[in-house]
Amino acid sequence: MKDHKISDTEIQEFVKDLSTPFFRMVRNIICKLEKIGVYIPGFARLYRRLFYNKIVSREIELARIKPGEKILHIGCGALPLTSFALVEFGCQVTALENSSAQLRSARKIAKSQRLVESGDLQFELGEGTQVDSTGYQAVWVSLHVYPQLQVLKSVFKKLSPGGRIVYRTPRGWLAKLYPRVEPEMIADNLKALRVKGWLGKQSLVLEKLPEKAQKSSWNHDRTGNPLKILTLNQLHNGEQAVITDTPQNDLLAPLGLRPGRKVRLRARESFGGPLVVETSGRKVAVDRSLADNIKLVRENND
Amino acid sequence: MTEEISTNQLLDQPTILLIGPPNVGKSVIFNHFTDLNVGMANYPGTTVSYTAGRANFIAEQLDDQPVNFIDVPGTYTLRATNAAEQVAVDMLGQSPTLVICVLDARNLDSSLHLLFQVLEYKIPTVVAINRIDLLENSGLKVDIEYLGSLLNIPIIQTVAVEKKGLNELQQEIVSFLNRPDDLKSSTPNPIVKRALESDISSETRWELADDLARTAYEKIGEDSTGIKESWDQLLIEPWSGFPIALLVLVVIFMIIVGLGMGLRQFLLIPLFDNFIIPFIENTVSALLSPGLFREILIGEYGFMIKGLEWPFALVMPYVLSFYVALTLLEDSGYMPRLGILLDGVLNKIGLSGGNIIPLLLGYGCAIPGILAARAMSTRRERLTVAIMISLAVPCIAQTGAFIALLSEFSVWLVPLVFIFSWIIILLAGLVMDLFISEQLMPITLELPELLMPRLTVVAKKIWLRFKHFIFDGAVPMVIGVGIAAVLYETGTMHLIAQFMRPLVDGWLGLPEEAATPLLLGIMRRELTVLPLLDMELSMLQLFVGSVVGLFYVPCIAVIATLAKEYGLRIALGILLLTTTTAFLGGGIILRLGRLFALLI
Repeated sequence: MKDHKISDTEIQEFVKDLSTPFFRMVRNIICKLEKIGVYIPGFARLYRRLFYNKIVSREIELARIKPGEKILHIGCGALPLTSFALVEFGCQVTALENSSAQLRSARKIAKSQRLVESGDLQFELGEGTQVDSTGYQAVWVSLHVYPQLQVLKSVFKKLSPGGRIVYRTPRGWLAKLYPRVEPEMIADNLKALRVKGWLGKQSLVLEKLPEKAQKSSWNHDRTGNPLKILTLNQLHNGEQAVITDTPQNDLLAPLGLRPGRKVRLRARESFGGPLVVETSGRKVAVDRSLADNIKLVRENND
Repeated sequence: MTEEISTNQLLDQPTILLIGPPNVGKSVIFNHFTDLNVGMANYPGTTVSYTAGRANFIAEQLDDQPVNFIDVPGTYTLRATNAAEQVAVDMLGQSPTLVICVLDARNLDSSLHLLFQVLEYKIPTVVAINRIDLLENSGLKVDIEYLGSLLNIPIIQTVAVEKKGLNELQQEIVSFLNRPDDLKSSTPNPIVKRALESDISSETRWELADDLARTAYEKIGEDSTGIKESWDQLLIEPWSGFPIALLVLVVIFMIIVGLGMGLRQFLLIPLFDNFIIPFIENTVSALLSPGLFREILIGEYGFMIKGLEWPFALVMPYVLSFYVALTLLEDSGYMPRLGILLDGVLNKIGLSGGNIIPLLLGYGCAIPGILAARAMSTRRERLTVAIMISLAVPCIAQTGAFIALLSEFSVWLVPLVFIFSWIIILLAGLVMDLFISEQLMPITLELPELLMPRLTVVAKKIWLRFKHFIFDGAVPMVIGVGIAAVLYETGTMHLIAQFMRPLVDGWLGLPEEAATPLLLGIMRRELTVLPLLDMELSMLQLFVGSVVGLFYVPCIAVIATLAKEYGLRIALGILLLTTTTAFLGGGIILRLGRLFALLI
């Protein structure tokens, strides 16, 4: 895992790539779109129902957020729908934005929805790279936050163990416009879960582990070298591997998908359907969102 | 059957609870001991609520002291993940006298883990390891002595569908009920004791279950499941799975239509036309003079004529052929495979692969379909399935009526009606998806082993469903026709038809007598279609009539079921939705059809 760590010069290269005019243009279009919502409340509701509600509730579930927790939302934008959803869930939210114009409209729309007066939502002007995230139980980082990797790294550093980060990163076509940040690039003492979102977005839910977290013995071969970890989704048809980690799900263990079990991928259903895996003679269909979070290592050939 | 024994009685009398993972065969054991007939099939989630019954076999050996048996839905763990599993956990909390924990011989590891959780309740427990035959096919056996010495509780090996081992199980139950203290005082082996400690982590408990299972298996021969596995591979891979699924559906359609039409054409119609109807007409004419009463019996809607002909000569053959096809499909284990093939597509309309089972059951009768949805993990899926079934899935009686009605013109109109219904199901799913924001649970579905359906089991199931149709389907149909006969002959029907004329004639373009099926349809779904038979309708009118019938009120029994499952408000909402869709759809199709006719 140490190999994944990237140097600061690499980060600077990465950042330079992002300041292309095209990238800025796309960011502007999305900001404009959200601005319509500031003036037309009905549009905001529709936009929220279509793009946000399902994803945010899934993120809340996976990040195991409890009502009453303190949450920082970096890059709330002009239409801070994620913050609204979090406040409605019962969290105390601080929404951060680096553009004062956008922050103004965010305040305005929050006032119109009577969310500011409840005291659970605060707005702050500031840069994501400089914000102090100590004392927050969880931090949300929006897709258009820039430079996202630097923000994530600095936030992660200040978070206490057990703290969670939810960030949105592109998949599919959107990955051509926005840079994609993999959890391994941020740090290695973390646990990551993926949520598939709408229109080319995906959310990653990170949990910070104590600095010297005990690595499971599955991650290393007999000589102590780290093994390449892959997800169930990356397995080829007919290929076998041993499970090292499974996501929280009450059905996986009883169906035989537990760490230490050898599994074989039997089929990959079309139209985004489940994967069929076999473990000791038992066939189980597993959703791709779960398969993305089932970690495996290939067997040693000796 | 649940009503036979009240919960109070359950607590007072010796009660035996069957618990185990889904699809392990608990219901087969239950049926054996109680002489009751709860549903059985080869997929997880067949049983969705508890059933209690008297174990007469056992009572005989205990000086007729009543003994109750309870069958509950299967559960993988005691952390219930759906409404059906919750029933099992609740029942365990009622402290039954004895628990029979049914383990799956093929998957001892997770079965043992469940057993550990059951043993935590400190209720005397007997273990039955079922499906030993399937284990032997894969070249393994369970070392019972070893396992018994570790668990220190009685273990019986069974093949419930062949009644193997059930006598031994019975002896074990009887000897426990005679001397209950023996089991209570038994202490498990230290290893198992460790598994029962409360501070143990879930990983360690799984490791213990795994170790116990691995050491309990013994190799006795070669694995002979290879050929079956390569067939199965073809069923589950998309490139071959979809064509096979299509083929299966065509074969099913052919069985239903072919067998049904054959029975009707060559057996029932000759029987009714040549013997039964002439006999009734002659007898009634001889006994009664012409008049109102005689007309009610053998006139236009004469309920001794239509009341017998419709349910028995027209609908019954299709009921029979449908259940032949469905039972074969259920017992082979193919249904969950169809479910996972379609999961990706179903996800787009807010459903998941497992929902295919309640939907297919709905094509037999809406009620088992709606009840089977209880095994689904989210309310969203349950509600969507219930609405789809009520709205656009015709029950087999109605399908039989469609076939009779539409094949007067062309039997190809039947698939056309079905395709139309699938379009509406799709639209309903898309619309519901916008309104319900509850996220679908990621699918985790076990694929049961492919099995050759057993003739005795299939025959018994078909017979039970057939009996159910006679009492719960045919009888209300006869009553419905009786009411129609009275209304028709007394002239009331004519008045109602006059009143409904603007809707029936003006909007739907049907003859005014078509008010009759709309009225009767509230009672039974097929009665929206059957009275159209003798009205000499044009092809367009037939199609409009069929569409209205398809979407119209699901029968009164379905509304009652919906109200029980989801509350009155939702039941009434669905009623409103189906009726509006029926009239809107019918009117629109009529106008489109007319426009189309003009253009040609």
